[in-house]
Amino acid sequence: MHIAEGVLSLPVLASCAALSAGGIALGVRRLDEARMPLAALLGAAFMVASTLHMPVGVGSVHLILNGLAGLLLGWAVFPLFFVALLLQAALFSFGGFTVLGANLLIMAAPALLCHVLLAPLLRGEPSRRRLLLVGAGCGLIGVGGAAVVAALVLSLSGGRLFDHLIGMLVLTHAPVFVVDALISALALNLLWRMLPDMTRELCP
Amino acid sequence: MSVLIQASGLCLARGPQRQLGLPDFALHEGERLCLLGPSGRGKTSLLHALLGFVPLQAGRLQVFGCERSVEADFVPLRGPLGLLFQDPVDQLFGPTVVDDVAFGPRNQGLDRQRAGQLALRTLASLQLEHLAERPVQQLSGGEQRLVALAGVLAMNPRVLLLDEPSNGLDQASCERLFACLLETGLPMLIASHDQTLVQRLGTRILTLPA
Amino acid sequence: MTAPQRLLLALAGALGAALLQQTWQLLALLLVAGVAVLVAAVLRLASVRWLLRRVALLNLFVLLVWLTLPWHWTGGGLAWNPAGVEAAVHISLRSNIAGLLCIALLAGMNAFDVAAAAARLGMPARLAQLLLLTVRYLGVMQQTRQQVQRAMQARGFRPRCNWRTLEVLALQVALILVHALLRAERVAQAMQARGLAQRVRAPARKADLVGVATGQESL
Repeated sequence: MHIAEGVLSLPVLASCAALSAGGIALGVRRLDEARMPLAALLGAAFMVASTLHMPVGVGSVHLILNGLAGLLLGWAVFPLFFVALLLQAALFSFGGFTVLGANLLIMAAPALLCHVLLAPLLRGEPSRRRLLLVGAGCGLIGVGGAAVVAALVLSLSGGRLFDHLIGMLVLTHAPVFVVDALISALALNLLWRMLPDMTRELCP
Repeated sequence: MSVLIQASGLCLARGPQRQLGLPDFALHEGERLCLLGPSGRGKTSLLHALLGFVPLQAGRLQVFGCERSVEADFVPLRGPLGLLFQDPVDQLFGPTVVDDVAFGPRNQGLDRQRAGQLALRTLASLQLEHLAERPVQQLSGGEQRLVALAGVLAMNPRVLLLDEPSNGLDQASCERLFACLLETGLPMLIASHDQTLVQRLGTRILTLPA
Repeated sequence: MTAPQRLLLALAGALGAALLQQTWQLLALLLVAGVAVLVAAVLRLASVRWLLRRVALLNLFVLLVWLTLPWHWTGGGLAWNPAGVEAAVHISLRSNIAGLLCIALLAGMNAFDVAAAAARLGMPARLAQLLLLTVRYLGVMQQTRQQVQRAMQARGFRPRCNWRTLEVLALQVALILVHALLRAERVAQAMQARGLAQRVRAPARKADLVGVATGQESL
C-alpha cells in the first residue's frame, strides 16, 4: 500500500510529514536503552516476515502484517516502520522520501489502533478462539485501516480525479486483506502457544 | 550391493566466484559412510547439495538410479533422503513435539489425524512419547536432536544424511543417539569430525582433502 | 561524494520534484535525473541490468496511474479526461525525477550503507541508534527465514495456493518472531551482565550501545 513519489499534493505531504514526525517522536521517547534491542529485533523480524508470500496463480500475495506489528510493538511501530520505509525507498524505489510521511501514516496509524483496541483483550490467559479473533482483527484493522488512510490522503490530494486509482488500489489489495487476516490470526495463536510469557509482556 | 548415491566430479558453488571441488564417492545399500575433514571443507554443502539446496557447477550426481541436476529432479528426494541439520534449532518448528514430527508426513499428503498418529508411533519407537505435548522451545539439546531425528524418520526415508549429529551432546545423549541410529538399519551418509561416532557407526570413511 | 551527501542530494531531488509546478521545469529536472543515471551506468556503480530493473519497478505505480486517471465515466460511457491526463503527466514526471535521482545517487549502496548515511544526517540520536540496530538485526532475521524455509523444504514442503500453505506461512511468521524474542532475551541478559559489572567499575557508557548498533559488539 505504498504511494509513489509525486502523487500527493504539497499540503497533504506536509501535514502527513508533521503527523508522522510526531508519531516517531512519541515512539522514540518510549524506547529506553533497555528496550531498544527488543524493538529493533521485532522490527527486523516483521520486515523480513512481510517478504513472505503466498503463490496465487501466476502471481503472489505478499504479507503486510502491520496490524500484528502494532499489537506487539505499540508506539514503537512509528519509528520502526519509518526505518522500513526509508530502506524501501532508498533500495527499491518502493514509496519515496517526500511521501514517506504519508506512507508511514498509512502503515503505522492503523497498527497503533490495533494496539490500543486489541492488546487489552489479551489480558490473562486468552483462549485459542480469542487469540484467533484478535489476530484476525489485527489483519482486518491493519490492512483495512491502511486502505482507508490511503484513500483519504489520495482523496484530499486529487479529489475526484483519483477515484479510479483509489478503487484499483483497494481492489488489488483485497486478496492481501483476506490472507493477512488469516495468517495474523494463526500466527498470533502459534506465537502465544510457543512463548506465552514473552508475548504477554509485549501486550500490557 | 545396489548403489544408492553416485557422485563424480562434483563442483559446488560456494558464494560468488568461489567453487568447491569434491572427491568422487558412492553410497551403497547397507553402508554407513563417514565424511571426515575439518570444518569449512564442504561437508555440510555436500549434504545440502544432495537435496538440491546448493547448485552444482559441474559433475554428475545420481540418486536412486536417476540423474539429478535441476530443482525438479530434487523435489522427489525430500523425504526419501532424510537430512538431519547441524543445528536442531533450525529444524524444529513445533509448536509441540508431536506437531513438529507430523510436519513431514503432512507434506507427504497425510491428513492431520493420520499424520498425528504416525508422529506418535515414531516418537514411541524412539522412546520419546513422554515429550509429545512439550513445546519444542523447552527441549534439552539431546532431546532436540532426537526429536529432529523423529521428524525425519516419520517421513520413511531410504537414506539418512546426518550433519555433525553428535555436536553439543553429552556422553549419555550421544550413546542414546547412536543406539537409535543403528536401530533404524538405514544406510547413512554422516558428516562428522567426532572420532567416537566414526568408530561406533561408520562402515567406511571418505576424507575430504584440506 | 560521501554517502550522506549522496543521500541528502537524493532527498533534495525528491523535494525539488514535489515543489516545481511548471511542466518545462519538471522536464528539465527529468533530463538532469536521466543524465545522472547514465553517469551511474558509465561509472559502473551498478550493472545496466540492475538500473533498468529499478527503473521498471519504479514505473509500476506510474502505469497504474495511467490506467486510472485519464478516464472518467460520463453519460455515454468511458471518456477521455484532459485534467486526468495532465495530472498523470505531472505524476509521471515527478515520480521519475525523484526515482531516477535516487537510483543514480544511491546505486551500489546496501541497507547498512543507507542506514549509516541517514544516521549522519542529523536525526535524533536515539532514532539513529534504532535505525542502525534494526538494520544490523535485519541480516540475522533474513538468515533465520532462509534456514526455516530450507528446513521446511527438506521435509517436503512446497508452497501452493492452499490452506496448508497458509498454515505453514503462519508458522514461518511465528518462528521468525520467536527467534527475535529469544534473541532479545539473550541480549537483555548480556546487557544486564555488563551493566552489573560496570556498575562496580564505572557508570554505563552510551558508547557501548553504539558499539552494539554498529556491529562491533556481538549480541
